[in-house]
Amino acid sequence: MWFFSACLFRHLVLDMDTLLNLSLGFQQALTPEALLYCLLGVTLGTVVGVLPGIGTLTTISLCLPLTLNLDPLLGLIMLAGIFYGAQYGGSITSILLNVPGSAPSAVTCLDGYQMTKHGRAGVALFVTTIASFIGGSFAIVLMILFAPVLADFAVSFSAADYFAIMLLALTAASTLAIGSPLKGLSMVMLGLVLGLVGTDINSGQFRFTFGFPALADGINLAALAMGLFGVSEILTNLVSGDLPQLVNARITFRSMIPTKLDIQQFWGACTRGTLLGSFVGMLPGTGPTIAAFMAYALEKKVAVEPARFGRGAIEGVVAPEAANNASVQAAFIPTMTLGIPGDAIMAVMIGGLLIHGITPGPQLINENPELFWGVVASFWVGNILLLILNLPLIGMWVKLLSIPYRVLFPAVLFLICIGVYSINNSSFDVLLTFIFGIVGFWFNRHGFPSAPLLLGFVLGPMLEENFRRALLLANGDLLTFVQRPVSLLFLVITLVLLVTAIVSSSLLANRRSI
Amino acid sequence: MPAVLLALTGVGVALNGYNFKIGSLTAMGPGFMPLVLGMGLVLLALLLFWTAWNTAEETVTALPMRPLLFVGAGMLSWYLLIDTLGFFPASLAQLLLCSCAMPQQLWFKQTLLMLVVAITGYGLFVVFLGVPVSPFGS
Repeated sequence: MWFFSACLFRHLVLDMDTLLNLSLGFQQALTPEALLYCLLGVTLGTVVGVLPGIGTLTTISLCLPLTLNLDPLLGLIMLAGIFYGAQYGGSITSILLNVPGSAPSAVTCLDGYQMTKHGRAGVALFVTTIASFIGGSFAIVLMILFAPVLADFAVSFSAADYFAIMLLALTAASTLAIGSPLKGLSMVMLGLVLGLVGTDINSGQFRFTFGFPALADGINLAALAMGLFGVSEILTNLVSGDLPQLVNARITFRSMIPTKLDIQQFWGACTRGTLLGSFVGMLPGTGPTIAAFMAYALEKKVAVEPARFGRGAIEGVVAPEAANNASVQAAFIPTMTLGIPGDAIMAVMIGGLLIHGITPGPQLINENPELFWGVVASFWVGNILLLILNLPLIGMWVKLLSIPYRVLFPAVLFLICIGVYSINNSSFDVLLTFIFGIVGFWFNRHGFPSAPLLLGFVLGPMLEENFRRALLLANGDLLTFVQRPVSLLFLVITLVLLVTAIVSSSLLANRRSI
Repeated sequence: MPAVLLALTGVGVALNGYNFKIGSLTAMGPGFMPLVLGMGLVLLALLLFWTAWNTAEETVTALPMRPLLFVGAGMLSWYLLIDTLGFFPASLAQLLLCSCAMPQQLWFKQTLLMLVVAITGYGLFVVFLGVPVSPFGS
């Protein structure tokens, strides 16, 4: 309620400030360099989304070294473009091949592919692009209104508050993830342990370096991300032998025109998906996959004829796509204003900013307004570019699906090797990538998700630092965590999530044993 | 099996924490967090073990070794050769070995691809981004 009042106040009274900030942002985002990197990012993102088996996180990690020599704004514009561009591209593969190009698009397969089978692939691609654009644009407006208010509020956060928020992000990432919450929690814990590797900032002692000087600064984030997601994903595809098949589809402009009934069904689904996605995106530990699945479930629940779902219902395509794009943009709100990533991809984004010496947090908007508002404005530019890339140029993306996987994967592995090496010029990092690739593959094979591990790894050092600081300031009194309202609120939510996850796991185990 | 590995990791981390000063809640030593996280990992591993015990046995399917061996050999060859033989030998060895991870080779197409990828990679990372790697030799 407080937030809504603050946002309304901001909108009514401070609209000139917002407009000035936005104008500053567009000045940054519309420079030729920014436009070029935005185009590069969204194009790369669409390619990655279209091609199954590469992964958004791998691509963002691969591009991290490319941003080292760039202005931080241009680097972030490109990395963010890959993230939201992949959401657009992922739906193309889901609709045409019944194979999700990226995880959030998995749910789009259910009705999207059925529409293709009924000769309505063009309509499905058209409505997903428009829904993606509307979802993304709404979340950008939310970011403009919410982010400065949240940042102002977060300035007063103490170490105990930050600790509680991070704890919630980690718990939510593991318990809300699809699959066993216990497995998710174990991976978070393993990620926290990996985050201990390196020099302890307070004592200067090396922890878990095992005599390797290369580990003194900790494990390289890109090596861990590319191993867990890039190498492991390729190994999983090759081992399963379940490789995407070639497609020979032709999409014409005429085939994209929706009927009157399609348009009527579109608006309700798009609105619900957008609102749900924006809300889910702002929560720590969620991400676009959960948003898309929740939007699909909601549509099925409110539908007059739920039996249409899974047989080519347009709402089953529109709502998840609007939701996943809205959640992707909304996820930048806590990341940029609190410095707390909501999911693994946001964690790598933060890594990209930290490389440049920029720490995301409440001060970012005031200390680096060009960066913050430039990124926000670039989101709109990027979404418009994606609209152009995905409607008139759809034929190009369809052609891309004909690249055989056997040609693609050795090249991706090569890029992973040189990409990891180029960050620190260290071949040891390549070895680490391979080891993490095997570890990720093995854990995935046993149903353990990798994303919570990466989030635990990034948040681990921050969590430890805030925990230490909070207790130092409170003379070791653990009650400090429940004496502040913000920290108490987040700890209660964390506890509820934990208890629910453990109880549901136990019930499931008991039911299966019976 | 993963639960056992996690439990062993937890025990190792907690024991390693004892090599450092543990400290107190007011002034934590570098061993405090490893001890807490190690014990947390053991606890979660026990819960996982208990859950797995109560559910149906996990079906273990045979693992095709070809992709693992060739992808592993490809990446390890890049790691071993990059600092000694240079960019092109390391990259070509990696691309060749990784290509063999799938059966039925298209030798001409794949050789062409290896050359294109290696040359493009050299142009982008070494020439454009200035990564200090020699094309041949250390």
